[in-house]
Amino acid sequence: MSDTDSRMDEELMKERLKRAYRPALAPSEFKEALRKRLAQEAREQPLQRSLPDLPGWLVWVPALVGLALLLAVILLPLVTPATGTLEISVPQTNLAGQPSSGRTISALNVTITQVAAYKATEATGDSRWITILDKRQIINLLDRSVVTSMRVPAGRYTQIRVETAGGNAIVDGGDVPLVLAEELIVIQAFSVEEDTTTALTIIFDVREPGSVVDEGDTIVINPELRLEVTQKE
Amino acid sequence: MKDASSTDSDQTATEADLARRLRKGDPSAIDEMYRVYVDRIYSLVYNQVGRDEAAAQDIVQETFLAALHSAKSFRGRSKVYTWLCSIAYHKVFDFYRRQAREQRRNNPSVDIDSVASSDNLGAPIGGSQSATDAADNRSLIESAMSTLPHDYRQVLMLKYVEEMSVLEMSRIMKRSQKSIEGLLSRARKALQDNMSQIDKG
Repeated sequence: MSDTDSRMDEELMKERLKRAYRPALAPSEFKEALRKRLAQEAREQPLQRSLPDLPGWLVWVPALVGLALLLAVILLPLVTPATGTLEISVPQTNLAGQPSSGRTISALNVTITQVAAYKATEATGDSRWITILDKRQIINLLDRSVVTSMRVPAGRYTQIRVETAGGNAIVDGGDVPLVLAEELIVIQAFSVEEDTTTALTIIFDVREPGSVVDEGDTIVINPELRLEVTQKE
Repeated sequence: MKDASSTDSDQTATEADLARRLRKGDPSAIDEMYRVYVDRIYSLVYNQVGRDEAAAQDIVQETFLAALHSAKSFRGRSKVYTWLCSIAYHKVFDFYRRQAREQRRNNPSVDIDSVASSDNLGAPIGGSQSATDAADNRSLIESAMSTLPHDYRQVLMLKYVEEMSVLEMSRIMKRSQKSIEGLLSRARKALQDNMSQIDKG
């Protein structure tokens, strides 16, 4: 088929898809009800507050006091923030008979480039992502792996983000590229206690049929991530 | 529906300001995001769930609530709309996963890709020839799409209905641009093959 024929076929496909899937408007009652719900939930969330406008002396007097305290802190023995240890591992994944092509997968090697945890500090509004792992690591989802162990600020966390850069799979003894999302986020709360080790197991659940797709020259996985948290003594 | 020449990295000053206010948890930013994008997100989801209004409303609600709760961690690397589409994409995938689970209780051979939206074709509207032609086209397209894997349907709709760039699709589907190009090529061929078979049939 010539390039011109290909382009015409593509244009025709585009036209037919656009005709079949016309824009749809959400019902007004639904939109209004959802808008109110969002507004209410947004109001209940704490803001990241900024400093209000104040008269000059109300700014420089506290600033001088703050500077004096800062000097005192620098000269006095430093107070270190409370920290605990976060240990992250990935258990062996169960393929549950997948892929449906019938070929045998003996390894799913995922390249992890970063792991971060979102620390929520509602009281001060100082929530932020904390990087737990920032060097490339290859893990085989069909084996248990310890990803990292490091000290992090103690407190409450609400999300884990895993960044990946693809990988490779061993299928019927041959090596094929592995494709998965570059960013996987699981929203689940957990706490890191001071001077305690918190073991976080990140489960790449691919048991659902269709979560592992054999495209012949590529394996695509769509894992559902879950966390299991245990406190170690 | 959108300016096809803009790329995902072209955050305008307005977009950048909205992203900054979302990260601060500004309620007015949440409201603005909702007013600007609710219809587009609804349309995207509605077409992907076979025009099931109840399912579309549930998924759109879940999408905006998830956006609200994760707004403070939105890093602003993509446009706000791309970010919302990414959330919606995963909510639609979760919807099909739940449907497959429920159907598998009765029929263990069902998988996520066989849970199709063809049940909601709707009866052709009688009357004018153009209305009949439109219904026939929709019927053909939906039949041809219904047997495609979920990812194929997604990428075709994002490319040809939403007119998104490969970069935007890569952000939404969380795959590399090369992977998206390969997926698009396979999806196009699969749809063309299906349509040819239906035409012959």
